[in-house]
Amino acid sequence: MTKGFLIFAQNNPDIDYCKLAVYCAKRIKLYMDLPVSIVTDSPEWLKESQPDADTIFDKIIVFYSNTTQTKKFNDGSMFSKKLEWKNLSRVDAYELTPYDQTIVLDSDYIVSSDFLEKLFNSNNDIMMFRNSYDLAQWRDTTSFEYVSKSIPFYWATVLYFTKSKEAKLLFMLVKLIRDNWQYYRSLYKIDSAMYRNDYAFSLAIHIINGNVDFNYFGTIPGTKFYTLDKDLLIEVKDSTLKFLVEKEKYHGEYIGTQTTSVDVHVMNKYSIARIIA
Amino acid sequence: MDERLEKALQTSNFLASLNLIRKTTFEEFKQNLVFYHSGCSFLADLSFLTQIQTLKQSEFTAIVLDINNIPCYIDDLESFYQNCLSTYKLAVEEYHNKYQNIKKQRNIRNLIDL
Repeated sequence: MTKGFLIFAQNNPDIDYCKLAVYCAKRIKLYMDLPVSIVTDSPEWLKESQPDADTIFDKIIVFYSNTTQTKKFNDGSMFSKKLEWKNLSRVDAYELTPYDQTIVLDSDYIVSSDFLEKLFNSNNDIMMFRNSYDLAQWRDTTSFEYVSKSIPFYWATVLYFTKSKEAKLLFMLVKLIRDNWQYYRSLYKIDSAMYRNDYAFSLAIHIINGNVDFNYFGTIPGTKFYTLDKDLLIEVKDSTLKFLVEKEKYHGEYIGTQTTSVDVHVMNKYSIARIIA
Repeated sequence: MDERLEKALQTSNFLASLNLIRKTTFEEFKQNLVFYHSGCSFLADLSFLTQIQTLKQSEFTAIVLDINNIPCYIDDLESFYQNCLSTYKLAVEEYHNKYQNIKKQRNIRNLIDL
């Protein structure tokens, strides 16, 4: 059984996802020493800007998707920009992965432990995080608990799957939801007009579960730590990450905090790029 | 700004940071309690340890439910218990050390070691 990580990196004019993917891959190698492949629509840029890409990545998979959305990207609580967001090809991971056991990771996921390596020993065919922990702690996290009133929220940030009938079925269903997003969002009364992988996977899991809160697929044990793009990553020193998180009721002010030896989903891509530079 | 007001603001920021770091450290501790056995995942907290200890008093093998409610056959309860115990000990020792270190700090600069 082959096992490895798969990272999607589809650049927009402002954010270099290839750079983030290389950083993410280096940390995976450091903590788990497992193969990492990249799926990108900018192979020339990847090789030009990251000369060591060929040695870092097990495979560079070129995949073009002409469908994009627009999303507001924040850099702390005082700056934001509307940019292209190419998040629609995540559902192709099942066909694209070169591994029997795969963990699909967001490029803004900062690995600081070997926690994910243990997933490869699991009996489950599909696993995603359901529990999460916002480092700011005061924000309303209801939208990360339920997609709509009764549909549990699953994070597509870290997605473990094996080449299996169950996983194939899930990915087929997610593809169907993606291609008919407006229909499914009105059927399940989801407010967001924007397609999100988290929503599509959560809906698919809910449908497979027979539209009840049951757990046919496994959840990743433990918690996914995250910071929103309104927070700032200010330093990475080995497995310690230091942050300034948005302060409650004081727009533009922050509180210092840190994590040690846990992986963190850092949604502020600008701040990761600054750390890498 | 009035000196007393500035001091009060600094203290409030320090306390906010202290609280956040304490909470996060506790979450890190819980994350470290996760362990795997025969493809199933478990949380080595005290309540789970007690359950296993109770089982192993009268049994050598047992079926235990994992985090995802998957029944897992344990063919050697004693070694499973030891595995669980060592996971708990490691996690709680790390948590204790981190907590002691946090407790000693008196300003934000030292707290997040900037």
